[in-house]
Amino acid sequence: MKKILIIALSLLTLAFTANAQDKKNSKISEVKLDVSNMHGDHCKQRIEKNIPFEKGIKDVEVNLKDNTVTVKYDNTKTDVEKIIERFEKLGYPAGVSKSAEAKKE
Amino acid sequence: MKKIKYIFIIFVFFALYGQKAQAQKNITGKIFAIDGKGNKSPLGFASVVWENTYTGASADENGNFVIKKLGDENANLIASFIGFTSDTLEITAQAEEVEFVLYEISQLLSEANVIAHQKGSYISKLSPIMTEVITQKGLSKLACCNLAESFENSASVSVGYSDAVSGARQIRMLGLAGTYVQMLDENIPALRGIASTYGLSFTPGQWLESIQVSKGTASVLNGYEAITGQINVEHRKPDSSEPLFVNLYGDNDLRFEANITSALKLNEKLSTIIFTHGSTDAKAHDYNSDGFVDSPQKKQINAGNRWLYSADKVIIHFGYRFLTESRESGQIHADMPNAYVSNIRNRHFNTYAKIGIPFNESGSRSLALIASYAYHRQNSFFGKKTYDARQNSLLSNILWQSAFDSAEKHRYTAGITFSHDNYNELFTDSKFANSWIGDRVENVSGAFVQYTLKPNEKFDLLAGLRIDRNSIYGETFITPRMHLRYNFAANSTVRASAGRGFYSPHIISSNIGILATGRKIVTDENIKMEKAWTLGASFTQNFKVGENQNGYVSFDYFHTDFQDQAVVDVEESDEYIHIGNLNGKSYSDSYQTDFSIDPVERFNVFATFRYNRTKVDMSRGLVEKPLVDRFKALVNLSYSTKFEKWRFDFTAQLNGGSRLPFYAAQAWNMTHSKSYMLFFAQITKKYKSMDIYLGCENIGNYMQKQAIINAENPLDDDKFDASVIYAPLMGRKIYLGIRFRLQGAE
Repeated sequence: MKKILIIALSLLTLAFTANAQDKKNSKISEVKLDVSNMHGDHCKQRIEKNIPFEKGIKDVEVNLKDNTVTVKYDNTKTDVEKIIERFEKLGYPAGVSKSAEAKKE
Repeated sequence: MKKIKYIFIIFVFFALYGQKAQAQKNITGKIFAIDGKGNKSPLGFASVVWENTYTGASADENGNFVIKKLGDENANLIASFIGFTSDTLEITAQAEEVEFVLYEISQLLSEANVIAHQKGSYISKLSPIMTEVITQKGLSKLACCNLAESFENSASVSVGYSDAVSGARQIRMLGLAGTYVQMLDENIPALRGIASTYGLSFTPGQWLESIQVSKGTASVLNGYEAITGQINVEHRKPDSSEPLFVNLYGDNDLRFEANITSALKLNEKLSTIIFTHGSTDAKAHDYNSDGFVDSPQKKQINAGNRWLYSADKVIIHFGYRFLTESRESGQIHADMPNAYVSNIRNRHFNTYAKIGIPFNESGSRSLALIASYAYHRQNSFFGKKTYDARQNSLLSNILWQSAFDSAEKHRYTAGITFSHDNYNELFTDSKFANSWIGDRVENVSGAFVQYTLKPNEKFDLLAGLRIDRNSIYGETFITPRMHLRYNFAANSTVRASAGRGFYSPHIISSNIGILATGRKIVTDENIKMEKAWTLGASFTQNFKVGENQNGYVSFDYFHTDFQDQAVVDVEESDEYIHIGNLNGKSYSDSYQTDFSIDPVERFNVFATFRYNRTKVDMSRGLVEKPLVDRFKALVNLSYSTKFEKWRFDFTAQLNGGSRLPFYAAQAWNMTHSKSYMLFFAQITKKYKSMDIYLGCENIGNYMQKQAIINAENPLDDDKFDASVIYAPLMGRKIYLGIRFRLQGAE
């Protein structure tokens, strides 16, 4: 019984450390993209199934209401141009969100 | 490239155009779905788009959406969702609220309602019949090499071994044998009769998209069987699966497995998928040192091909598959003189066609023609007992579905079925110079009608009746069945069902474990058609924890009562096994509760408990049926990181003990087997086009230590018995697998 508990616990801790480690060692940037051609949940899933698994991508948040996708990425491994390229390859033309750029200025 | 740029410019144009339109008023609406059974419910996450624009919106989980109006002119708004028909409405400048109704495509053909990207398993909200759905995600939580291994996270179904020789797996539902569960392959009865003995290992788990387990009597559309339940498997679909899917698997018991599926969309209407499977259990193990192989050495080659032609006027499904499997088992030193050896060989071929013709746009009035053919051959010997069987089966079903009124509150499905089964069975036992010949032709012609009352979204009543004439019994069987669903509060559903079922018994192939004994097999003549009533009721309460965290709790109770049954009495004597007609009572009661909750995002806790009592009148009076587990309880914890890059699953299972037959009770000095725990864990790492999974089954290494009675002289000892199995015979299993997906351009 003890053995099993230990295995179960170590699995869980592994889950959390796997997450935590990602956050420690890299430089995370965030970009908000205007993405066209997204129609509903199917597109959202398609993006969520592909973009997060590209190199350097940490987090992806699809917002269908205002047709934007917020991407967190490791800026030592990828950049905005590459990310936009990935979106276009999937069939979703994208560009840096105007509202986000306006905010920065 | 140029083309893409051109398209891009158009997108930008429309994006700007869309922004301009944002100044206008909003329009709100709701999207509803009509599923295969005609049930209406909100369709979450469907999308709406203005015709000829890229301005769209998506509905929330309840089907509600808000979209900005394009301008002051009338425009067409299109609602759509994968697997459903689209709906277009003209929106006038004054309109503020609209309602869309989308119909599930190929309604008649795929009765079940499948949502593949959800929880590992859930209880269908819409189905009037209590239905537990195991999704592809649920199937990828465990090794799930085949159908038999797909129910470890379900208490509704328990899976056991029939004996310590054949490796045949048997399912039980409601505390009763798997023969009373009707197996469907995409709603066509499959793996019937002789093919059912080893049938659970004939469906590779990696070929499947989902499994639906419905409890209690099923609808009358598929025949008079399905006394305790129905299990429908949905394969990966020709039109929506990957162009290439490869699964490789290996474990420390030296089982290796490869599954490859490949889907190809030839054009808008025609698509096909190829399934292949090869597996081998290369090594013989004897963990409990009784001199017998714990699980047979197996080889299986299995391949199939399915086609889908989907047009507005007709939908055609067509497919075929063939399989060959061999098993070697018995004493581990098969070369010693007088060794007990077992060889089992199965060959199977089946083909089917389904043609669906919709007569109105929604498909709610439609005709379906279904035909299937199966050939199965089984050659086997268990020491001095041999069993050879062959089956040729032809099934056909014609269904007409329509409504009595324009609002479709009163609907009906009517049809006729015909089945032809030709069996050649020969059982011989050289020790007793005993044989049994089961050559027979069984023709069943039947007619059925099912009425569906659905006055509103909250209520369904399904009342069905079928009449069948069976050539073997020379009798007409009347099968009434009824199902009711009432959503009496927003998240509370009650269901009730009652119905009659019949099963034409297969005395050897359904009880293959009796061959793994040294005893004589005595069968009565004129074994009757098995007849039973099953009643049941359930209550499901869905609740919300946080924003998107759903939970549910459910309770169900089922009672099955047999009037006629082919009873296998292993306790009449320790010298023979007697198969005869039921004389007295035979019933079972089953209670179950399920609980599921997501305490935090992406973390699911599922717990379930089932208790059952099965009693039957045999030579020793009304006794608890031997080797039926009294309860099953399990907890499954499932956690995934975002986008399921990592997934962790852990299952703890408590399997209740069962009553042992008296001779086993004497030999092992206990009347009941002990309850035991099993633990399962798996880690899955997901990449863009690949999953790698590493898991362990039976972590605690629990095994039935004594599995064979009088193992010393199995060939000649009448009291040799390898059929008293209540726990795993195989110990801890560590496995590693990959799933590779090649994604196609959409």
